[in-house]
Amino acid sequence: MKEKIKNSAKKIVFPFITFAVAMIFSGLLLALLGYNPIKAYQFILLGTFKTTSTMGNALANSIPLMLAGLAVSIAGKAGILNLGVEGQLYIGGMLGTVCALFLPVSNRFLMLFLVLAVSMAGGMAWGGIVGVLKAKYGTNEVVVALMLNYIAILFTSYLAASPLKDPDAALNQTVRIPEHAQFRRMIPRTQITAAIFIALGVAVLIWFLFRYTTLGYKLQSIGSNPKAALANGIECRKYMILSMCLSGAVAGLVGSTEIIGKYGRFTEGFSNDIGFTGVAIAALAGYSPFAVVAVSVVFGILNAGSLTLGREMGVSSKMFMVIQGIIVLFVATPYLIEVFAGRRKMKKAKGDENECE
Amino acid sequence: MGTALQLSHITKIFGEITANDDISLTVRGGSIHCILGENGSGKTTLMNVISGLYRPQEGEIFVNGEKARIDSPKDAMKYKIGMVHQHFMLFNQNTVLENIIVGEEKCGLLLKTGEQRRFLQQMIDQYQFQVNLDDRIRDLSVGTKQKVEILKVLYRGADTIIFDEPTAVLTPQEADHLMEILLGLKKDGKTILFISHKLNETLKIGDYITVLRRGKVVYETVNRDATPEKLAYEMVGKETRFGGFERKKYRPGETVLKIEGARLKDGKKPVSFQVHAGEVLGIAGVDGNGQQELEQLLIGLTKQRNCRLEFCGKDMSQAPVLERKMAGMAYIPSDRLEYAVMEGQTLTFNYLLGNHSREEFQSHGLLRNKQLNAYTEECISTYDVRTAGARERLGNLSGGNQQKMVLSRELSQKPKLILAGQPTRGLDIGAIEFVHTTLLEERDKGNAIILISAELSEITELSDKILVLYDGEIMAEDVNSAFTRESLGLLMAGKQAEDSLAAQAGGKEVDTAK
Repeated sequence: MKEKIKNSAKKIVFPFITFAVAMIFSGLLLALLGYNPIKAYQFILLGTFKTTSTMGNALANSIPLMLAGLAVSIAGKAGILNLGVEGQLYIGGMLGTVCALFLPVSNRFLMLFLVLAVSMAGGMAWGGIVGVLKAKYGTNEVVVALMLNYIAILFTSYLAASPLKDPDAALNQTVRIPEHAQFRRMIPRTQITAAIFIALGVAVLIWFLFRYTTLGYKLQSIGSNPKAALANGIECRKYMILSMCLSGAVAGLVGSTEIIGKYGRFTEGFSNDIGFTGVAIAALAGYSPFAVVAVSVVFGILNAGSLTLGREMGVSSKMFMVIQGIIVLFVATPYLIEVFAGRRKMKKAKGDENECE
Repeated sequence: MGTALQLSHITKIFGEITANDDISLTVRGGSIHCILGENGSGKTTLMNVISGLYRPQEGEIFVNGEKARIDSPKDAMKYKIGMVHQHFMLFNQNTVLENIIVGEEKCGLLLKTGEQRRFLQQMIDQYQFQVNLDDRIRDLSVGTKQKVEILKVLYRGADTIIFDEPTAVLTPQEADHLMEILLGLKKDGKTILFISHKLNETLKIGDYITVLRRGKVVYETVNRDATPEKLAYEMVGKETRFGGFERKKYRPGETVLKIEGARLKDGKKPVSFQVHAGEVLGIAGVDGNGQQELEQLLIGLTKQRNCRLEFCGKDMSQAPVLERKMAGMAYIPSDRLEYAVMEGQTLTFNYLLGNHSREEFQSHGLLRNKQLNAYTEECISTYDVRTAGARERLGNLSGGNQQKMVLSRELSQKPKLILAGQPTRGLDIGAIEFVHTTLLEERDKGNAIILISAELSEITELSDKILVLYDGEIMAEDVNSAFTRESLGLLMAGKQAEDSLAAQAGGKEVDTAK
């Protein structure tokens, strides 16, 4: 019992420590560049909590991150690292845009439903390719997914630059999608739309999936020990493919909710690496859906705050990417934390590991 | 001789587990000192403390009366202490010579081995090791690999040698040979620390015996005062029965499983056999002679086109794993960690594994967590799985308790056939006894049991019929009483009965010198 509490406490505390250490390092970096880190963090917080509008936008920023993090989590629970969310969301976004532009549907709800469904199907197919190749030929999911990202990003860019390009725009983007195919803003002067309910809904669904269904159980077991799963009658290949399909479907939602909720059109490069941020978020959250939601909000705040930082102090808004990178680094190397936590603990961890062998 | 090694008040704590609790031990020079204990009693931890892999929280080590500070295996070597590990640490692609001198090479621009070769050959002749320095490790048998490990330690000048469960991987004959080597080393003045959980070998060669239980020294004796009963009692802390299980008369029922044309190794003859209701079919053999292949073929992890498998009168040659399990096959894999459990998950999670499609635990794809939790609790209490609770990570359980968990899961669904691969490997006496009685109970209930084991005593004690595997082929198949310990040992080594007389004449009786 005591052990249990200790373990769960460790689980909760660990991300906070990681985050705090990352912030300290980022602060040092800012100081090195000649900015006052305390002031910088003040601006990030002020920039977020100044008005309803800024708070809303920080939250709106976190919605796609949430969905991307959830997409990575589904595959992650099944033991697959989905680095293809970025590509899957472009495919989903483009298919959704095409739907919204060309489907002769005037009913608002039907239209929204179709756009979302088609984008999910697109992401699902794109993710499924990775799953099928891994299951059938044992190809490395990371390599395949990264390559597919290039295809997806460049192909959709081509579509937005040539056949579907808005002739009046300087940027490579499609024409605006009709009003009835877009989400309405729920709070004036913010970008919060129904997408937030979709994201939260997906989080709840995933939680339910892994807690209460046999499908979730099977996915989790192939992630825990594929050989034991196989020896107990769980067809690893099938569920490997399925997990990538589900993950891809959620990734597809990232693309369409961004377009119908925020931009109103497909613009080349609109995602700005949301898919990869999703990997960081999922890792930091330990693939737990509700933790993904919480971490996404923090990332949303950082993201929004970094814009203020740029305006007020002249720090490049890319600083957000640096901080994010530092966080990822610390998540990826929990061992480093152990080192900071003290040599004694490290030795103990080593001993425990040997015991298990 | 005086005291070679003295431990005083060693305490080593991992997290909340005290692996060694105030252990004091005196090892006399030139003797064989056995450390006896169940798995998890702290034997290996203690040896790792001596050899410098772990540093204890408290306590001191004295070597030849002087206080020693051992922080790494290299330090241990400075004090002439060497360890032969249970798992060999050798480079498979390299020769014996290269493996022995690695880290101690005398290098100019080129590797010069002439002098070292002479030195080693002398050592090999002295102890009659029968090792060729130019053989590659990958071509050697397990027994020979172990000799290479011993040579490695000797070459580094060890006077005190620690053997960690050295016979676990050997055939009976190889084990006997090892005993001779140990006695030879002793005669040469070396001090030997022999770690084991096997009573008979401890009694055979140990001059002094120390019993560990739950990290504490509970009993120390010299060999002539030791009895197996007393040692076993001290090890487990309660009376244990020795063999002689009560069982119903052997009356085989109808055929439960029939397998034909199973090819276990490329280019070898396919095997065929049957198991009947109320029968324990023991499959004897040294590891790696086709057991793994057979096991996987039987449960359906692999399939062969020409192999026919009939289960309860139904053709199941191509049936998937789940169908076989649902039809009444229980599977206890020989590689527990790899094929039976998920260490990172909770006990509840593990109890659902393989049961996940039963109506009892799910309906229309939704888990019935209430039933599952009740089932988990029931299994834990009936099989006395020692755990903090159903929500504990399985990896936190000891080997014996993990095996109990697997056993309870596999037996709770009323199987007709139990396929048990090395079911007691790595378990302590108490757990072994439990597994054995459980298997025999199932036999008495009229179920068929296939027992794959490399442990000879297990095979002879439990089986009604015995089948010996060697190099993927069946060497012999007959009722238990048709075999002797010796004949089985020879068959396991691939020698037919004709050769056995000649081979026996070559072997020497091991005298239990005190």
